[in-house]
Order: sequence, then structure tokens, then C-alpha cells
Amino acid sequence: MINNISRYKNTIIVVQLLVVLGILSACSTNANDSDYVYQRSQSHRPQHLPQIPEIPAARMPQPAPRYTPPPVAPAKPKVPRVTVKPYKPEVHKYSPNKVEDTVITQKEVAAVTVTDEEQAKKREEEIKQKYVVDTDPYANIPDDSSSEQAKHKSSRTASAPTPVLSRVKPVKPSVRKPVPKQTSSAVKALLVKARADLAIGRTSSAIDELERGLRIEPENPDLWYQLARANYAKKNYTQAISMAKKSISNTNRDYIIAKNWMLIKKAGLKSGDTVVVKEAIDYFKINP
Amino acid sequence: MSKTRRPLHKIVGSFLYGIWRIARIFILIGIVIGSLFAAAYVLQLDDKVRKQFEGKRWALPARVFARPLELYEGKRLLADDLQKELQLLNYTFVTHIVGTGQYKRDKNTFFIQTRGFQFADDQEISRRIRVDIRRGKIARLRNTESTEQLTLMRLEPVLIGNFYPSHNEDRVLVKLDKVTPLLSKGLVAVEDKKFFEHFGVNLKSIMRALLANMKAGRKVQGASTLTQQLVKNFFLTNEKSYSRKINEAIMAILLELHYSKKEILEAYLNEIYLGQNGKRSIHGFGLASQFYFNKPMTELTIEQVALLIGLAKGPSVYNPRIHPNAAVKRRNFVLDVMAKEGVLEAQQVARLKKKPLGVTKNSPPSVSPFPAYLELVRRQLQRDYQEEDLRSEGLLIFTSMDPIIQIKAEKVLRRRVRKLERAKRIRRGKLNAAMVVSNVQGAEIIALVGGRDARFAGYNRAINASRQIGSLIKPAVYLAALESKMYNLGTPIDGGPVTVRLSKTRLWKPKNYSGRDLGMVTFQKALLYSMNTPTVRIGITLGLDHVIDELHALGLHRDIAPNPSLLLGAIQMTPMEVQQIYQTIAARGTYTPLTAIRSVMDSYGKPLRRYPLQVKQVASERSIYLLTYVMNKITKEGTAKYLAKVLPAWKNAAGKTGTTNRNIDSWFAGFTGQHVVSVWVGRDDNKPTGLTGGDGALKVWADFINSIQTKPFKPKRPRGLRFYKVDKKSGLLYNPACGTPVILPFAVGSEPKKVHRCTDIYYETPTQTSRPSWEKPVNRQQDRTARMNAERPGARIWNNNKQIKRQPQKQHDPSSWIDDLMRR
Repeated sequence: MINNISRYKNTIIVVQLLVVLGILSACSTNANDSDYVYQRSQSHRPQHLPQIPEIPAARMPQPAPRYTPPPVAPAKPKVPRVTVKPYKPEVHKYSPNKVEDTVITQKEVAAVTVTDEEQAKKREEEIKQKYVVDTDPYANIPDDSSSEQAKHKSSRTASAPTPVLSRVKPVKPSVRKPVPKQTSSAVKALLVKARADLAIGRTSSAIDELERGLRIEPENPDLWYQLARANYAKKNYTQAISMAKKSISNTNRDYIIAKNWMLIKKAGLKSGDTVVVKEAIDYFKINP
Repeated sequence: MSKTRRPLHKIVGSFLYGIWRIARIFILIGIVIGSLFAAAYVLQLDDKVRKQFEGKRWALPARVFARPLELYEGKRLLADDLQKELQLLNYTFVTHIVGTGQYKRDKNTFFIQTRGFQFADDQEISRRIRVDIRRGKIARLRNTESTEQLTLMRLEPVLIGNFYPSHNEDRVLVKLDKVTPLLSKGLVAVEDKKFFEHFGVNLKSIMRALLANMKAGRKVQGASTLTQQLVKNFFLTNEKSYSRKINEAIMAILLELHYSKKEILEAYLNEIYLGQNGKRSIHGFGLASQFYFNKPMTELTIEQVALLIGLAKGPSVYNPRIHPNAAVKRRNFVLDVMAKEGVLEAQQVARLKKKPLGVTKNSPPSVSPFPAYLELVRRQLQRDYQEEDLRSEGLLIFTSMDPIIQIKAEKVLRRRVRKLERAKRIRRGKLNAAMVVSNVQGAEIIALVGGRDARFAGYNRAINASRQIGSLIKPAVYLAALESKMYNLGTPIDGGPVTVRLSKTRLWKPKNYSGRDLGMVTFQKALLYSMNTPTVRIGITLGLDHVIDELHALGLHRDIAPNPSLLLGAIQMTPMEVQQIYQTIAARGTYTPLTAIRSVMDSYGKPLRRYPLQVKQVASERSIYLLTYVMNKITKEGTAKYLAKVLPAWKNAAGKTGTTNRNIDSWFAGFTGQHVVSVWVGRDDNKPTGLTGGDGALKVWADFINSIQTKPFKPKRPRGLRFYKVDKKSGLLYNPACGTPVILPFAVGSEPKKVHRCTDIYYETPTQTSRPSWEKPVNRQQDRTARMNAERPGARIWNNNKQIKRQPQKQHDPSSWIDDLMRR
């Protein structure tokens, strides 16, 4: 028996080595999980991303300030209406000497509190206020035919209810801020399902549901935000960033915008996109 | 010595015994070898049986589905469109709903019993619903049977085509436990009563049949069990010989050895030959029920099931469409047998025998009605799947096609092209067109029309016809200009004759469509009226590489030669490529690759692949807003003002016309708030049609937009954009003392900062223009002014757009091969 073993000892060793090699090679050929990702745009991504150290905000160089405050200014309360008519120095009626005095003092005051550049800029802005028109050329377009009804469906006079060029009048109310629309109940139901799926970890189903929702309401910021989150969970950081930006462009609510920028920052850090991280940090500096 | 004589019989006996002893060995060897061969043969058959049964039993075609219709309160849907969808799904219009696949309509109220569908990871159950449609929207959606809240649901998707395996077979798989038990009981009763008892072959019935045949002198009785019939269908061709019969018998026994009765019965239900549809043979009860009754098996009535059972014996003899009388007789015979065997009750049978056959008049088409879209799907799939897998794995492919819009698009295109043909007196059949329709959100292609004859799987012009695009390229040039922040909508551009130096010896002098010298025009006006010379100026000033980069960013994946004629559209694109570019513009600068497939599922319901949404912002929203502002104006006062006449206000749209040299191609690409549509009209033989973009493609486009429900083009104003009142001609801030005001949008950063001064000599001579110094004209301005002054003394006043007589060309320019590009 012992003789037999010794004869086979070599083969046993060889077999063990082979087994170990086999296990190693099997372990190293784990395929990348690329099932659900449409790889076309990410075919050149490197396998291992460079290690980006966490940049604490304090260590980032301060962005150059655009406006240097004059050394004296901060302490004094600024005269609020000095700049309204900057070129008309105040003239006293009865003392010609005083006119000069006042002129001089005025100028001095001007030099101390307000710089010329600021003046020029404010003047420009003023002019602009005259020329800026708060209008929306698309405001008069009805959303569907319900207001017009069958009578006017193919009316030839329905050509330009929208204002044409020179005859446009500013529309009231101001349409700078888009009126927040109510999400329909169908989209709400889909959002609930998608959030639940994301919480469980079923990201693909969540993405399906969110895309269904987007087909119903393409400009809903919540849908875009959840889609960005889902893509983040799937490690598609570029897409997560694009979708978060789409969410931001569709809303004015600060809470959602802040959430999106947080997500952008996280995704940027993970993917090494420093430009985007800087944008996010800038946003948080402005809106703490 | 004397021998005792042995008796003869003993001698013979011992001799024979000797022979016997020798022969015994040989016989033994023969038996052993023979049995070895037989065993080998049987094993071979056994192997064949097992492989066929267990491996890829049936090569199933890949099924392609359209988008499932979503239903929710508030959705825009016309009652007639809902009905069309139900008809496409083969729902029966009934007075009382008793089962799935039926609907009832009462003017604008629908009661529908849906079938339910297993999507990937997601199932829609079968429901009884009520849909109320008012004013083009779903006003109410209720579940009439349960108290379940119904906020959102989908109907099943319409099957739009199949990719068949090479031998053109198809199956609709039937599972024994999912189908009515009457089917199996009836089948056993009619074809093989002792099915559950015999072991593959029924010796008694074989004996019986043999005797009967011998008595009659010819074959009057068949004795095939179901197993034998299955084997015949499965493996062997239809050869009738004894050796075949023996093979059949052996294989039947082997089959019974390996598999249970249930499995064999199920295989029979899916394999038996039941009819012929052109080139395709109909195998299996599932497919037969679709073929004869246009319904799934679960919706068949008892007598319809009996008819199918009867067909198993002879599908051509008892074909209900060709020999209805024989079919009725056979069906009634089957019903009688079922009554006799106790499967059905006698009075039930008596009632059923009186019913009509119930088959549809025409067999369903064996080819898809949407070959153009299927070709698109196939191309997309080929990137990820092999052709054989496509045709044999039974994949379910979910696309984004909208069959209602597809049908409308085909109809509109066909009609309008016919009208255009007649208007321009083109020979009948020569003019052709293509259209691509997609959603702004998601870049999903919802309709594709490859030609006038949409049912015919011919040349797919939407995917394959590469044509010059003409002015369709101008939005890309102007977008590049806006993105560079060097231009804004009011910037004045010189519309006069321009000369571009191509090389040391060659010059290019493009002309406008009208040949006129247009004077100074604003940026906006140049795009509005599709002027050539300003476009060339802008493009050259910007640099061709910027324009090419912009085109690539917008989604064009071709190599583009940096030839200045590119600026006027001397580049070839298919309608799909044009669609991609306009899709990006319509989606506010978001590039999403156009796709037709949403997901792929295997036949067991497991999702195989999804094609999720991908977005990439390639142009700033501000520049896109400015560009689309002008493109919207094109439809009101520009080259597409025909739309202002025919489209209602709530279908506000934006777009661009395109015409090529000598009116060979007519293009219009445009979008509303919901859909992007590109149309091409032209001749396959490349001869001129006499149609400009505004005459031909635009009309098709308008007809189509008028026929569908769509949201108006109403973009949200992005941040960093303001409307200023500017002077119409100079583009500077409006001075109330002179000039005409116009309100235009401007991106913050490129808005005019100075106020217009009230002097006309701004543009008297180009060297004194107030154009910003960064715009460096390439052409020699002195030539132009010298020429002008030679014609007409005195300063040229900005206001007058006097026509200058075209100077006759004295020499023939050797570079004229691109010279006569006249485009609009």
C-alpha cells in the first residue's frame, strides 16, 4: 500500500497543482456584469479608475472673487441711493462757492463709496431694464384642442394666435418661473413603485417603471432624479450626472436641486469627473 | 475385427447432431452479433428520440411586439384609436362579455375584458375594465369587477411580426395544464382510446387493422397510436412503407419508455400538423387556433376545439375554409365520439352540432404587415444577437412602435405622394417618399415608412436611401454659431455675394435660391428664409471644423469631409440620420441614440436584455432655445409658412425645409412638443421632381401632423435667457427715436450692449459697419463695394433691398462642379 502511494505521490501533487490553477483561473475570469447596460458609449472606459483623494472643501483654492470690495467700504453702511443719478451732482442754490464745495465733496464721497466700474455697470443694467421684456412667445399656445373645439379645428385663421415679432406684448403673469404642474396619479404610482424597487435593489425594474413614467410626463424632475439614482446604483456615473442635470433643468424647487447636486457630487467623485465636482461644490457654496 | 453395424438412423442422428453442435455455435454467434446490431440500432434510435425531445425541440421564431398601449386617466386617446388597437389585438366586438379578448362599445364608453400579458419582470393581469373617453382624453378608467384602484394599466402589445426559422415553422406553445381538459380528452377519445394504457404501440388494434385490411384488400383502418403519430410528425417523413412502420413502432416504444404520457401528449398537441398557410406549415393546436379562429386557445369554444381535433386526421381534406361541409361533418363526428365516450353530455352535443364553424374568412397574413419597421428591429438586434438565435430561440422582442401612428403615417404618405405625382405630372409610380417618426422623450422610433407601398418588403428608403440634404444642414451651422457665442439672433450678416477660396486656383461662389443679392440680413432672417450666402459666411467665419463637430455632437456618425459645400448641404444622409439630428435639437440639446427596441425576453419570461435610456447634453439649452425659436418662426413666416395655414394653434411646431440642386430631393424635418418627424420625397432614379421642400415633403408632414394627436411645441425658457427689445436692422438695443423695434431672445453673455444710433451710414460701406471686430470677413469687401459703386453711384441705403441685376458670367469658372448648387 505504501509503495503504491509513493508511486502515485508525484501524480497527486501534479493533480493538486492543476486543481489549484484551475480554481485560480476560474476566479479571475469573472465576467463584467454588462447585461443591462448598452455599452456603446462606454466602450473606452478604463478598467481601474485612478484613485481620487477626497478633497475637503477647505483645501480647494478659493475661486478668484469677481469683485474686490474697496478697503474702506464694509464698515460703513452704504448710501442707498447715491447711484441713481450719478452724473448730476447736487447743487446748492445760494452759494456758488458751496457748489464747488459740494461738487468736490460729492466727488470725494463718490470715490470712497462707489467705484466707477460699478457705476458703469449699474448704468448699463438700468438701460437694460428698459429694454428687457418679460415675455414668452409660446404662452398663448393652447395645450390641446379643448378650448377651440371642433369648429375651429382646421380654421384658416388659426394661423397665428401666437404673437408675431413686433407686436408682442409682455404676457402677464410673468412667466419666468414655470408654473409647477401637478404630477398625475399614474406617475405618482410609478414613482412609488420605482422608489420601492430601488430600495430593494431591483434597479432594472425601477428603471423600467421610471421610463414608463417619463413617457407620460417627460418634464417631471422627480422622475429624472430617481432615474439618476438608479443609474448611480448601477454604477453608470456619467448617465447619473446627465440625468441629475436634466432634473435640475426641469425644476425650480431648491430642495430637489440640492438633492440633485449632492448626487452629482457623489457620482463625480466616484467617476473622477472633477469638473462636475467643482460645479457641485460651487453650488453648495452659493446655497449652503 | 468385426464392426457392429450401427443403425442408419443413429448414424444420421449423430451426423446431424454433429452438424447441430457446430451450427449451434454459429447460430449462437449469429444471435449475439445480430442482437448486438439490433441493440446498437435501437440505441441509435433511442438517442435520436431523446435528443429531439429534450434538446431544442422546436425552433421557435422570434416574436416582435409593438408598444403596449398605456391606459390612465387623463391620457390623450381618441375612441376610434382605442377601437383600432383592440381590433389589431383581435378582440371580438360582442354584446355581452363572457370571456377574455372581448369588448363592448357604447359610443365613447368601452367595456373590455383584457387578456393580460407577461412582460419581463412585470405582469399585467386580465381585467374587466371600463374606459370613458371624452374630448380626446380618457376621462374615467375603472375596474368593473374588483375594487382594485386602477391608476395605470397596459393592454397587451400588438404582434407586428416574426423572424421565422429557416424551415419556416412556427409554434404557439401549448401547455397541458393551461389548456382546457376537453382538448386532451377529446383527442384521446377520437384518435387513440387506449392511449393511457398501451406502451407505445397497441398490438390489439394493429391485429385488428391487419385483419380488416386483409379482408378488404386495401388499407381501411389505420392503427397509429398518438405516440406513433407523434413520432411520424417529429422525425420521419411521410413515407409509407413497412420498414418505416417498424421504425415508428420501435421509436414509439422507446418514447414511452423515457417519457410520461403527459409529456407525450403535450408534445403531440404542439407538433401535429394541422394546416398550411402559404409556405408555412401550421403545427400544433396553439398556432392552429390563431390560424383558423384568430384567437388564442384559451378563448375557443367547445365546438371549435372539436373542429381542431377533427383536423388532426386530415387537415387538407377537412380544411374548413376550402371544404366547409366536410369540415362540419367531421366536427360533428368528433362531437358524437366525445359524447359516446362521456367527455361531453349528449344534449350539449346536440346543441353544439347546430353551431356554425366559426372560422375567420381569410387566413391571417403569413408575412408581417410592417416589414420596414421589422427591418429596423433586425438591424438593431444584429448587433447583439446571432441570426440563428434570433430565428430559433423563441425570443420576445418588445419594440416602441405605435401601430396606430404607423398606419396613419403610411396612409398619409401614400395619399399625398399620389397627389403630388398628379400635380407635377410625374409618371405614375415614379415618385416615392420615406418618413421616420419618433418621440421627443426617449428617442424611440414609433413609426417608419420605407416607401409608398408599405406592405411590400422592398427597398427601405428610410434606412437605406442616402440623399443630399440641402438646407437641412443649416440648423446645425446656425447652432454652431450660437454656441460659439459670437452670434446672436439679431446679428446682421452680409447677404451679398460671397466668394470662398478653396485652393490657390479655385474659388467657389455660391448663390442664393433666387440669385439675388440680399443685402444685410439679421441672423434670424437668414435662417428663416434659408439664405445661402449668409450661411456660407457664418460657416466659414466659424470654421468648418466647428460645424463638423456640431454635426457629430448632434448624432451624425458619418465621416464628413471639410468641404465648404457642406455648409449648403452637399452631404448625403439617410432619413434616419436626419431624424437623429433633429431629435437632438428637439430634445433641448440632449443626445439620445434613436432606438426601436425596448427590451428582449426569452420564451420563459426571463428578461434577456434591456435598452435603457441614455442621455447626453451636447448643446446648451440656451442656444437650442434660440435656434428652435427661429425654427418655429420658419413655420409661421419662413419657408414653411404653409404650416401656419393648415396646422391649428395647438399643434405648434418647428422645422426646416430642405431642397437640393435642381429639385431632386424634397425634405422637411420638424417637431412638435411630442413628436419628431422627418420626411423625404423624391424619385428613386434621381431625376428632378420639380418639388421644393416646401412643396413636397412639407405637405406630407402637415397631413401627418394633422392626423395624429400631439402636444404643441412649447419649450420652457431656460436659465440665462432674456428677451430684449432691439432694433430690427442693427440688432442693437432699440432706440425709440428711430428704427423699428423687435423683441428677440438672447443668451446672457451675447446680448447686445450698445444702443442703436440713429444714423443710416452704419452699413453704407462694409468697412464702416458696426459689426463686432471679431467677425472677420473672408471675402474681399473692396471688390463688392467697387462693383456696387460702379453700378450705382451714391451710398447704399440700408432700407432698400433693391434688386441688383445679375452680372452675366463672363468666363466659365473651372470650379463650377460645385458652382451650380442652388438650394433652398
